[in-house]
Amino acid sequence: MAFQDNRDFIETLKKTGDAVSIQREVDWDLEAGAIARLTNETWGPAPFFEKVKDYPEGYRIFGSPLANFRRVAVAMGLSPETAFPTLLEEYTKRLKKPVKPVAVQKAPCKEVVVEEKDVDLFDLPTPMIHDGDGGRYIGTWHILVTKDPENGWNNWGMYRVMLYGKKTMVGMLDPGQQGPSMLYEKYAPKKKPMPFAIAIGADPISSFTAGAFFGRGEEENGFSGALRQSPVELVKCHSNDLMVPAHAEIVIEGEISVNDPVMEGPFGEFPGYSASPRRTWPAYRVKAVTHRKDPIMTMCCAGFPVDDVHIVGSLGKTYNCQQILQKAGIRYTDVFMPPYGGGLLAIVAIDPPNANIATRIGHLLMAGRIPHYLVVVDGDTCVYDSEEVLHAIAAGCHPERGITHFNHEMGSPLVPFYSTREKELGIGAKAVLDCTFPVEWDRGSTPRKMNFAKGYPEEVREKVMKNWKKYGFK
Amino acid sequence: MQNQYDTFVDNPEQLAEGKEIELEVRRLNPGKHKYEIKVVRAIVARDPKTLKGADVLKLRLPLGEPVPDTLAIKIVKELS
Repeated sequence: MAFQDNRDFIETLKKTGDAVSIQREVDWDLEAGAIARLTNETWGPAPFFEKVKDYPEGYRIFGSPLANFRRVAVAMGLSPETAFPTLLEEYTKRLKKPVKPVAVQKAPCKEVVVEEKDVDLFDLPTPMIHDGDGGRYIGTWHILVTKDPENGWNNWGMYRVMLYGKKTMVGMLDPGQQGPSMLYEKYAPKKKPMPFAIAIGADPISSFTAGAFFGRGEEENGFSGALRQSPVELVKCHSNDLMVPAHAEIVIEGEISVNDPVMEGPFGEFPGYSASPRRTWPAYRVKAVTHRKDPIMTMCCAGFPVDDVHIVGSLGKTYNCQQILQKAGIRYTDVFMPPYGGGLLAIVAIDPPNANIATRIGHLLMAGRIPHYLVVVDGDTCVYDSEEVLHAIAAGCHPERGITHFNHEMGSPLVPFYSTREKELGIGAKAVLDCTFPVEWDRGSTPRKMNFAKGYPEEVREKVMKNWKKYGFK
Repeated sequence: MQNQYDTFVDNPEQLAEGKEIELEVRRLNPGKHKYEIKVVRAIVARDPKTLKGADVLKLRLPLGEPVPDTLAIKIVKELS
């Protein structure tokens, strides 16, 4: 059964051992972030902070909602033990049939309505997540709702948002991303501000789809319904016509204008560094806030792997890569964007290799923002085993002709290895590491993998396995 | 009680002293409004003795690294 809201999800996670309810008072200023960071780095349970310093009783923070695959599986109604390939298979199957949302008139997210004159964003328990962040980030695990004024396309995105003043927020609005592109391409030329709504603490799958990547013109709310196997309930905002998840904890509504910049950042981001310096982005001017009576803020403590962004990216972008390869007719055995790659690394296993296949896959996958490094391995290499993949690079990738560079590609200000100039211009470079042996090498000179699976006849392997304990091993 | 603020600077050496400048500061006093941002006109000084009744100003570099030196700040006017 689909989770209607984050509250049901948290209760279920507590039962499966995947969330810890913290009754002791925790400081929103770095302490909550540090706890979430440590649980992330140890693949631990999600912290649910029930008592937050400086805030009324009942105002809570839920950290790291989907920072491991167990919690994603639970969110999809599966066993927490579900292995990644099964999760991917189910994800792929469900996405084939989007389920349209339903509109409702009454909604829990409107239990409390705060009009513009009374809005003080600091009334919400927003954490200071990392030391050195430019401010308190209210939008790290949320849905930014925007609407194309020409064709009515409703986009859900997840772009970081920082508190600036009592009625002002600001966030990175990169023109290369779908939601922000509406601002620059559709509203700014007409000298109009873009209405926005930010829904914090929606059901876990709706937040997941906001952070995953779907095509331009495709609506995440339908994919949420598909993954939940139940339609998402939407309600009209208090001060504009945008539709938001009815069961969200907090909804912030207002307008964004390109002519109204304020300073934003830095912020510790998913590639594992604070890498994009403070600069101006268009301000979010808030017109109204609505929320549930005892609102639960959600927090993704982004940074060194692993965090929620890596998990959403790993499942969501592995799916994206898979779709691209299948449409192009590429014969591959497996594809994986590992969480430890910080969203920058894709691994594709092919069997059998054919001429320049690695470069061809590179051209297909490097066109968007997906990976910056693509590692192509033979079908014997397990893409889910980081040691096997590292070995494939070290022993299979020729340091000169095994690496193909793609220059003048789309970059990102969040990627640590780019120069300040590259970050400003949004340009980048990418590389394919081909760890397969060239097809022109004849069979007699192609190296043979010398591991247990490949280096011994089947009868010897069976004998060894059968007698393993008899040899004295445990 | 002295108020505490901080600001992000590209180069701490280039922060002009002894004259009114426009500056974006974050309020650091404890409480729920900590880290609220204001644009202000202010005078800053490296030596607090030269700025009577001044508050405390800390500095951070563009990627958030704290600068060890603490300065004095006198806010003349809040602009935002």
